[in-house]
Amino acid sequence: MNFQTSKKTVNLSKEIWPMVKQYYAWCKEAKQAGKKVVWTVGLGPNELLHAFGLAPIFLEQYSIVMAGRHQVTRYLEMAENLGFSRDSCSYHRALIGYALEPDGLMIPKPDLVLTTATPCDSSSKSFINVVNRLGIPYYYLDIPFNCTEGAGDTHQFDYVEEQLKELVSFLEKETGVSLTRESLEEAVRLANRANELWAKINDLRKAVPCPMTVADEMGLAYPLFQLPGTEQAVQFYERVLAEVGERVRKGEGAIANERYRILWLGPAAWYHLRLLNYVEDYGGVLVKSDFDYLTHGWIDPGNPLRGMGEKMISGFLNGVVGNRIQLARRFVQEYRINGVIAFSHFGCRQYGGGQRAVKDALFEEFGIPTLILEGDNIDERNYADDQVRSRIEDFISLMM
Amino acid sequence: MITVGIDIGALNAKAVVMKDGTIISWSILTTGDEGAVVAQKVFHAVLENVQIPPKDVDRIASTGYGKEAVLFAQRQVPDMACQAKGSRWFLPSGRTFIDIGAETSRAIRLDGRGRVVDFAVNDKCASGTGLFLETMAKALEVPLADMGRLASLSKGPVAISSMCAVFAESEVVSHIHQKISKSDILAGIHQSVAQRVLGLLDKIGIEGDVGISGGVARNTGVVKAIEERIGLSIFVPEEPQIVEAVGCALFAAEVA
Repeated sequence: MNFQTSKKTVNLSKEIWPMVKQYYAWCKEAKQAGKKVVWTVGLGPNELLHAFGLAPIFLEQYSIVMAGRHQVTRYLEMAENLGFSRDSCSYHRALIGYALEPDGLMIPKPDLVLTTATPCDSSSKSFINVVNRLGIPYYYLDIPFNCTEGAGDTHQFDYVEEQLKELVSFLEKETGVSLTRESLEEAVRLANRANELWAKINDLRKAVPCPMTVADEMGLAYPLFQLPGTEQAVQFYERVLAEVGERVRKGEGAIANERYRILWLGPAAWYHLRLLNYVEDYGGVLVKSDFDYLTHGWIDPGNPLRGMGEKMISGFLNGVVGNRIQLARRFVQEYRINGVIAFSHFGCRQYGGGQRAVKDALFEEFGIPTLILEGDNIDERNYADDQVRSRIEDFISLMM
Repeated sequence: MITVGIDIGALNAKAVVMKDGTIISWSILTTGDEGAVVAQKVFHAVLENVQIPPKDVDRIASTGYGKEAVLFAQRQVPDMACQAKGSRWFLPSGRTFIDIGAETSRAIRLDGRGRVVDFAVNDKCASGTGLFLETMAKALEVPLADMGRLASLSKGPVAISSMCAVFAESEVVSHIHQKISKSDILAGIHQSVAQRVLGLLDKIGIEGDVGISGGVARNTGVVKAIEERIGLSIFVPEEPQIVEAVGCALFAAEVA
C-alpha cells in the first residue's frame, strides 16, 4: 500500500509538523533541565498543566504523529504480544507499547501520568498498564457521563471541581511547584483566546467555496489539543485566521468546481491522510469535521477549575447521543452540508456506538446520506484502499 | 445505438452488448489475467457472439473493481450506480436489491425514481460472499452448481456459528467428521450467508419488491434462505451475474 499524506489548502498547515517536532524536543530539553513531564491520556485539562509550567504530552496525539510516520505498528505488536487483543482500540495498545520501551520515543519518559474518563473510560484501564510498568505516580480524573441534553448538571460540576482541586495539590506535591492564581488565570485567558480564534476560523469556513478543508483541520487543530493555555497557540491561530480570511476574501476554494459539501465525523486514518482528499475527485469537499470539538470549548475565567470541569463534562462525546446529534445538525445547517462521512474507528465503542442514531437523525431531518466508513485511526495493517475508494464512490453517487 | 458495459469484478469479468436498450449479447470470463488484458478479452468475446466489429460500437463504459483497467472505455461508472440501474432494468418495480459477488455483498434501497437512498456493504470479511461459498463447496467436495439442490434435501440445517470464513471451514470439517449429512451442512452454510445479508438489509430497511444479483444469486439455497428470513419472495434474473454490466451499458448510452 502506497500511503500518502493529504493535500492541504492552507499554507500554514505546513508549519504543524515542525511545531510538533519542536514541542517534543522542548519537552526532552525541559526534562533534562529538571521540569516534570506528564503523559496525559484522554482529554484532560492541558491548560492546567501549562499553567504549572510542566511539559504535558497528550499521548493519543503522539500516536497520531507516530501513525503518520508509520512507526506505530511496532508498539501495537508489542502490546499484542503481551496478550492485548487486536480487536481492542489501537490507541490504547499503542500507549501500552510506549511504556514497554519508552527510551526510543520522540518524547521523554514521563514523571507523572494524568488520565481521564473522557472521551472514553477504557483508556483509563489501559493507562494502568503504563503506570504499573513505569512505576510512577498518576492522577485519575473521573469525569461523569453527561446524562443531560445540555452542558451537564451542578452536582457533576461540583464533583469534578473537587477532583481538580485535589489534582492541583497532587501536582504541587509531586512537582514541588506551586500554582499561582496569576499563572492559572493567564493560562485560561490564553486557552480561551485560542478557542475564540479557532471559532472565528470555523466561522470563515462556512463560506462557499470552502477555504479550508478537513485535511487542514486535522493538522491545524494540534495546538488546540496540545498547547491550550500557551502564547504559541494564540499567535499561531491569529496567523491562520488571517490566511483563511484572505482566502475567503479572494473567493479561493479548495477545488475548482465544488459540487458536494461533506461533513466528516470522527478522527482520520492518520497513516493515510490522502483519504481526506478522495471526495475531491468527484467534486466533493470535506468542509468541516467534529474532531476539533473533542476539545474546543470555553472556560469560565472567573472560576477556572470549575470551568475546566464544565468543559470536560460537556464534551460532545461524553454524554447522551442527543448532544452528538445536535452538533451534527448544527454543522449540517451552518456549513450547508450535502452528505456526511462518519469514520468508525475499530474497537471504539464511544464513536461507533452512536453513529447510526446520528445517521438516521440527519436523514430524517435533512434527507442527506451518511456513509459509515469503518477503519482504524492508527493501525495501518487493516487498511484496504480499493474498498475505501469504492465506498466513497458509492457514497458520492447517493448525492448525484 | 450499440453500447457495451464491462464489469471487471474480483473473480469474473462480465460484458454486455445492448442495442437501443435491449441485451443482444453477454459474456463472462474469469478475471485471472491482468485487468487490461481481461478487459480486451471479454470485450472481443462479447462482440464475437453477435458478429459486431468493435468499430460499430457507439459507446463503452466500465465498472467494478477493475474499471480503471478498461482503458478503451469512454466512461467509468461506480459499481453501486450500475447495480441500481441494472437491477431496475430487470425488475422495474424493485426498490430493494442485494448483490452478492465474489468478495463483496451489498444491499441498496432505491426511491421511486430509482435513485439509491441508502446502502450497506460487507467487504471486511469473507463470510457472506461468493468466495466463502466456494471454499465451503470445496471442503464438502460438492460442485458449486449442486449446492442449492443438495441443501433443499436437508432435514434440519446445522448451525454454522463462526463469523470467520476460515474458522467456519474448520467447523464444517468437524460436522463432516460427525457424519452430519452434506445437505444439512449446506443448508446451515446458506443460512449463515443469509444471516449476513439480513444484517445488511436491516441496516437499510426493506421496501417494495426485492431483487438479487451477483454470482451467488445462482445458488437457489442462499436465495431461499434469505427469502425465509425476510418472508418475501426475491426476484432472480435469468443471468444474475451480468446485472451490473447491464447497468453499465445503459450508462454508456447516457452522456456523462
